Formats: sequence, structure tokens, C-alpha cells
Amino acid sequence: MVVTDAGRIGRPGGLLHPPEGAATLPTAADTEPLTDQALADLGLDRLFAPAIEDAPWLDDLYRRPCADPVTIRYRQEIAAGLADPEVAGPFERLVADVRRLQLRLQATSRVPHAVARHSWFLAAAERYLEVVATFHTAIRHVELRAAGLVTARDRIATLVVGAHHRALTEETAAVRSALDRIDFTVRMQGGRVTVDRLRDEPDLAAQVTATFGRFRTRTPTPVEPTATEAGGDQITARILELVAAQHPTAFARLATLHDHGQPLIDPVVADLVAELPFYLGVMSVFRRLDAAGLPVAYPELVAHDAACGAQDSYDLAVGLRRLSDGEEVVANGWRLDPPERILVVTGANQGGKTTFARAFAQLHHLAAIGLPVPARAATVGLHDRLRTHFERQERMTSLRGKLQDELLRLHELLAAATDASVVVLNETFSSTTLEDARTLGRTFLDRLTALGARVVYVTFVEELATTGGSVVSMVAGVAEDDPPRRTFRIERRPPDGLAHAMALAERYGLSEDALRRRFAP
Amino acid sequence: MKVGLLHADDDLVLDGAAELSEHQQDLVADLGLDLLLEAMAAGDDHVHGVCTHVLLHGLEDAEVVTRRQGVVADALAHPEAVAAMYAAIGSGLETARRSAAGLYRESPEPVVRRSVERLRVLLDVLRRLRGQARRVQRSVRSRPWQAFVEQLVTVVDEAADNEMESLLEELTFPRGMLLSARVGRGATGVNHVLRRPRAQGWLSRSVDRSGDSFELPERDDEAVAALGAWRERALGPVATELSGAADDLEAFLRRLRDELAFLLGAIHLADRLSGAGLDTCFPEVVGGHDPRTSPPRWSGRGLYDPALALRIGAAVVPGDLDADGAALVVVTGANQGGKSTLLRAIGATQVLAQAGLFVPARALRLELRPRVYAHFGREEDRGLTRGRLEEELARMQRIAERIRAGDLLLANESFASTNEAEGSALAHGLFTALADAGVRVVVVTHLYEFARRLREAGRDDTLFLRARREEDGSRPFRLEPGAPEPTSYGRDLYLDIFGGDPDVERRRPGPRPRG
Repeated sequence: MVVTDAGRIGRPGGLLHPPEGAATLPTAADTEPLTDQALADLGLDRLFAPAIEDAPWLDDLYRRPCADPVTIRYRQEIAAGLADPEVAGPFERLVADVRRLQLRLQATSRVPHAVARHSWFLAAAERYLEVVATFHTAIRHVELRAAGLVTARDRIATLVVGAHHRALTEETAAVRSALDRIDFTVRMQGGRVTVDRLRDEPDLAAQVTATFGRFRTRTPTPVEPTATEAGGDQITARILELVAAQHPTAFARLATLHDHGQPLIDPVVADLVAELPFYLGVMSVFRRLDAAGLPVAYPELVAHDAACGAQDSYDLAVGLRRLSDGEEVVANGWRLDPPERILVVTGANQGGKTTFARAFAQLHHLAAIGLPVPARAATVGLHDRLRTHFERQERMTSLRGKLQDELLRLHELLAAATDASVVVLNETFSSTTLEDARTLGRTFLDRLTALGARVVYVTFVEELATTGGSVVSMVAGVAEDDPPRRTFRIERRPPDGLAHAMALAERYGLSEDALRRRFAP
Repeated sequence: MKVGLLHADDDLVLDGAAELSEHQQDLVADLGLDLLLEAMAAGDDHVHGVCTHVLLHGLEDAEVVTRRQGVVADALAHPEAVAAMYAAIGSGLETARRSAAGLYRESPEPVVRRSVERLRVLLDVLRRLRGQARRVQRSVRSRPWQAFVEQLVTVVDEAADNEMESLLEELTFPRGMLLSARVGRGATGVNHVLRRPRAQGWLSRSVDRSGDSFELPERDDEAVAALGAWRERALGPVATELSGAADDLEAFLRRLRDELAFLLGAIHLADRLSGAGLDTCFPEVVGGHDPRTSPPRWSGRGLYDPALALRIGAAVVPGDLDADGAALVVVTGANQGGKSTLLRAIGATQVLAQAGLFVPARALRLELRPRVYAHFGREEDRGLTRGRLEEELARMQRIAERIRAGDLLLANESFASTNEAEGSALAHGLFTALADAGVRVVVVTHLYEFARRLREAGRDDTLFLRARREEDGSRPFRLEPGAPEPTSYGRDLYLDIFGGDPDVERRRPGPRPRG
């Protein structure tokens, strides 16, 4: 982990907040970050984890919905820019290179011997100049539209023509060329190590090549040193000290470079490298989805109580499995036109319903943090918090205990939710009796309706879908082909009743007739 | 360095030699090559493996065959030298293998140490080979042997030998190690180069006192490792070079050992056959022409089945073959009339000739065939009739997928597992098609209907041979040109042995008696 001045992250005018957006920035009290459990329920934990591991300061930014449409638009533009691999490439390389350099500088600062520390610093300075120059060259001719990215490029352009950067460049080259003129020898004899100038001692390796080359018929596999890169050790430091003593002028100049070159990495570069990871890992995932022919959209944000909906929305986890093993992706659409607020999803087991609920929630959260969404198009209302209630595989032994736990969690959920919230309820009350599930479900739907939150409610109780008013019925149907596919399309229509269950039973040889024949004496 | 005995351009490559393909296994079993290979190996598994590979990868160019015949003839004339070289390499490689153990992915310092040991052993082998080479230098006649001997004598002469030994001694660093470097990026040093310390004047044992030095702290493992890292960098290129040289020298010796193994096998086989009082000769091979336009050539005197000869010795009766111009040879006639023996003799002769070896005959002229395939009726799977035919067809399908114009197919009682009408139709279509495609085909068959149709077609590229039965019922192992006859003599034998009428038995599904 690289220690970074986390206080600088997310300042207005960076990559995460627009310069003029500061006035409408939400306070922490307005919104609530996603819990670990909700992140896991949504399957977003794995999307964010790589970035958070390297840049822990991004954790809250990924979890907390943003209530400011200007900021969301600002981020969407940057994300859209980085969706182009030609744009993303230089930024990705910059982050990777500077991170490696930061780790190296940390290690360098701990080297106790001055000559070795200075020498490492020179190498780091050379690398830093190289990395900045590479980025500057690469980004100069790339077409950038996002205001945030253009600002970043302009800052780097200003940096490289600045007096400090140019002086660093010149002095680094001069010190290097002085050091490169020094050839020294190390003689090892028993426990004695002797350092001297190289005179005319012949190259023994060349002699070996000349003598044994006659047997050679092919290029040999190189034998590489297995020892890890030497460096911070005492012996190397003492050897270098002796070399330095034999060449005082060159090494004095090296020391000066070290003392005057701190800090090496300019804040302009450091800030960029701290904020970019918010987009880079996520956008590489969306690029791959796009390359696999799956739609990716930058949603339009509207007020929390306006009409909203999505076309061809799909679960990110399923999309990613398609990339790895070609799994079929079924995309679904939905709409909520006022006064509709609640989608009740019923229908066939095994697939579709949970995925649909997860996609609904992903769509809202990703839209609210300014990232693209897995859908063809979407209009999304802003929200203040997103709560999930998925069935838990807990070690709860009694059904009563389980129901009690469920109700406690739902109570807490209702208390926190507002009319601007998004609630996802998956297979709620599935462990209780049908009668309990029907009664509790209806009560609960009434309270959600009264609250006015946007809800997806996945349930096996079909009556709940026929409430009308704010409730929209969505049904997971069986695909008509034979054998049935594992994936189901979810459509807006009244629930199926029992016909669908009978058909499934027949197809799997589990109808009453089939079972009778099978068990006939 | 190159061996160049068996091939002019490339040395013998034994990749995949351990795995015989299905048709190669068939060929070995059907032609009795396993007996030949045992005789060649004389108990040495390595010789067995190499000979198997060489026999099954025949040469395809007449000039190359003639070249190798010369190499084999030289080997037969110098059996002690071949055996001594083979043995010297074998024991040397064994010793070198022990020093090489665990070499994989080691760091430069142990690699240098082990490579010095390996090179010392391998140079010693080279020295012994040079001794043998000197002994035969004036008497080998073939150009490849002369070039090979010349190489052994000149590539490492005494002067080079001494230079190598003293350099190997220097690389044990009896008086410490000197290397040069630059500061480089970071504090590791770069461009490490191993150096030869300066001569130290008349007091050569005195220590060079120039420069600034420090003593390594006592019992400091970290310091030892750090200094080791400096040495490793300087030793990297030397380790690469030395282990490369040792690998290449060892590879050369391995290839030489493989080629010598084949020649040793030839010596063993020649000893066995001449020990049994049988003639062998180097055949005259022709080839390199388009098989569809050049007339087939195969004629010889005193041919015999070498596998049978190894089993029963001088009791084997040689025969003659005059099949020039025949693309399709059909052998019919009495059981026990020597039909299968003839087929095996033809096949083995072809295989041996194409390996550049001598052949079991007094005189022989034949054309080269890129590949030899055998399709023999199988004794096993004597289960359902249907299953046997399918097995046969499957085997024939695999052959037909691979066989090319100019190849040789030896078919022994193919399609005997079905009735005569079906079998004949199958055989006729298949064998004439192959013959027309330029494949040389020898068919031993009981399928009279097939033979008769072929005869009536009046093809001038077809030779019919018949196992003759003398009127008194005694059967010499003689095959003569002759039209197929409707009855084979199996009925006689069947009556003799089983005392029942085979015509009655034949109505049941099952295999026919075979010759």
C-alpha cells in the first residue's frame, strides 16, 4: 500500500468532483454508504476490490451514492473517455509506473548507507522523468472530451515545462554520465574484499567463449542469477563507499541531487495517480463487456420520484461469466411510471429472479456513483441509500429464530428508508409457512407503498403481485424451447398461476402420472 | 559438431521414438521385426530403441541409401572400434549425468562448478574417441566415416585439449575471483565482468596489495549472500557459456551414441545371420521417380524371411522373386505353401533395405518406398463375425488415410472375416484402387472370386503367384507364377488335422484356415 495524502483526494477540480460542483456537494448525512453485506449481495464487491486494495481511500467513494447530478455527469464523462482503450492506456500505464516508483522510493528512504541511498534515488529520478515524459508524449495527441481529463493533461503539460522539472532532468543526466565513466574492480580472496580501479585485466568470460565455443551448435539458455536483486545490503553499500572515496567529485554531485530533489513526485502527478484508480479497473471490465457484445449505458439521472426504467439490463456477474465461459446473458427491461414504485417478481425457480433483482440494484448504485451501467439504456432516479435484504444461509436452527431475525432486519430497514431510497427484497419469508408469507408480505408491501421507496420484491407468493396501484407484476417465464434453457426472460404481465408449474413438472418427469408409472410394481 | 554418419545433413533425431504408432506396431508384429530387433539389440535396450526407430523411418532417396550402405559396411569391417566408442560414450555420459543432477534452474555459481566437472568428464570421452578414431583413420573407406574421423582428430587436438584443461582449472578459482563493474542504476552495480587477475611478476605467489579493502564480517550469512550476488552476476555469462558447451558436447555424444547404436545393431544382426550360414547382400536400390510412371522393380535371388531364419537357422529355404513391372502382386494357392513367409520376406527386405542395411538375399534389386504398411488378419477378437470385419475395416481405414503413392501395402488374408462374395468385392475395389493410385500392393488371399475377377480384367501390372502343391501332396516352399485356382488346399489340411469336412464348417460364421 502506498501512503498518500488522503485529504487531497476528491478535492473539487480533480477527477472526482467538478470545480463548480462544490456548492451542491452532498453532506455525509444526506446519503448512506453501502454495507459490506449489500456490496456482496449486489456482487459489486469483486468489481471494486482490486482498486480498493491498492487505493483504500476509494472505499467510501465506491460505497456512497452521490446526490448531485452535476458531479455524476462529470464522472460519467471521464468514465466514457476512459472507455476508449487508446485514452485509458496512457493513464493506466502512468498509475502502474508511479505506484511502483512510490514503493521504490519508500524502500530507498530506508537505506542506511548514504552512497547507496543516493544511488537508488538517482535511479528513481531517472525512472520518474521517464514515466512523466512517456505519459506526456502518449497523451498529447489523444483526443479528450471529458473536462476532468483535459484538466489533468493541461496540468502535466505545465509541469514538464516548469523550471524545477527541467533542472531535475538536466542534473540527473549529468550525474549519470559522470558515474557511468567509472569502472571499478572487486577482488574476493577468502574473507577479504578489495575495491580498485579497472586497469587492463582481461575479460575471462570472453576467453571461455573463445575456448569452448567450438562445441556450440545452438544458443544456450541463459543461466540467470537466482539471488534477488542486490541492494540494501551492507556489503554492496561498503563496496560503493570505497568506490565513492576513490571518485569524490562525481559522488558529491550525486549527494547534492538527492538533497535538492525532494519530494521527487510532483503533487500534480501524485493526485492524478491517487484518483484515477476509481475509474480504471471498473472501466477495463466494462470495456471487456462491450467487446463481448454486451450493452453498456451512461444513464440519465432524474429526480427520485420521476418516471424511470431500463432497457436490456443484465447482472454484471452473469456478464462477466459470459466473458470467461460463454454463459448466455438474458437482459430484461423494466419501467416505473408514477404512481408505480414496486416491482413484484414471481415465477419459475432457478435463475432469473435473483439476477433481475441484483441487476436492478447494481443499476441504481453504479449510476449514483457516476459509473456506467450494464444495460442498453437507462433513466435512473437519484437515491439516498440502497438497502438489500437477501435470504441468509445462517446457522439459525429454528424456523422461529430465522423469522425473528428476518423481521428484525426488516424493521431496521424500514426505519432507515425514505421515499428517496431503493430497497431490494429477495425471497423474503421463504422459510416460513405460505400463510405467514402471504400475511407478512402484504403488510410489508403496504408499508413500502406508504413510504414511497423504489422496491424490487422477489417472492413465491403470487397474490402479492396482484395488489395493483403502485405494484407492477413481473414474471419469470420458462423458455419455450426443449430442453428448457437455464435462463429465463422476465416480463411485465400478470402471474402464471399453476399451469406453468405443471408444465415444468411434466418436462422433468415429475408429474403425478410419471411418478405413478415409475413407482408402479 | 556433427556426427553425420547415418544422415548427411541432420544427425539422427530420436524424438518420439519410444512411442510406436498403431501401424508401426502392426508392422513390427506382422513382419516379425521384433525378432530382428532382438537380434540387433543383443540385450541392450538403447540399441533396441534406436534400431526400432531407424528401421521404422526408412530412407526415401536411393543415393542416401547407397551412402548409408557404405557407412554400414565400414562398421561391419571395424566392429571392435564401433563397440569401443559406444561403450566409452555410455560410461562417460553416466558419470556426467551424475554431475549434472539438479542442474535445472540453479544459479550461476553451482552451474559453473558442475559444468567444469561435466566438461572434464566429456573431454575425457572425447579423448578416448580420438584414440579409436586414430586406429581406424586409414582403413575406413566411406566418405562419411572419413569425415567423422577427421573431425574427431582435428576439432580437439592436443593443444586445444591442454588449453581447455588449464582454463577449467582456472575456473575453480584457486586464488580468488576478480570482477569488474559499474555503479549502474541503483546501488547494485551493473556490467559485471569476470576478469583474469594481472600477472604478479616474478613473485607470482605474492598478493596484489593495490586498492582499498575490508574484511568480511565473521559468521555473517547476509554478507556472504550479498557478496555471492556480486559473484553470480559476473559468473552468469560464464555459466551460460560453459553449461551451453557441456550441453552441446553432451548432445553431440548422445547423437553419436545413437548412431553407433544402430551400427552396433547391424553388426549383431550380421553376426547372427552369417553364424547361421545364411547369405546377405547390400541391395541395389532404385527410386526417386514418380511411382505412377516408373515401372515397379523388385527381383531377387535367394530371398528368405529373416525372422524365420533367426528362429530355425539354416533350415530356411530361400526363394526367388521376379516381380519387376508388377504394381499388384496376388499370391494364392495351397496352405502351408509359404505364402505368408514370402510376404514377410518381402516386407522385411524392404524395411532393411530402406534403413541402408544388408538384406536377407543373395542378390536383390528393388525400388524405395517411403512407407511400408501391413494389414494382416488378426488371430484375436475371434468373437462376432460382424465385429471382426469392423475391426479389419477400421484398421484398413487408418491405413488408407495415411498411405500415399509409392508406399508398399502388404495384405495377408484381408477381409477373410466375411463371406467370399462380400470379401471379394471389398478386396477388389480397394486393392485395384490403391494400385491405380501408385501404391505397390502384395496380397495373400483365399478369396478366389477376387483373384478371378482380377485375372479376367487382364491388367498388365498384376502378377499372380501360386503356392504350388506337388501332385503327391508334398509341399515345397515354392511360389511360381500361376493363375488362381478355385480350390485352395486348405480342405486337405483341414481334413488331415480335424478329420472333418471344412465345407460344412465354413457355413458357420467364423475365420477361415490360413496359410
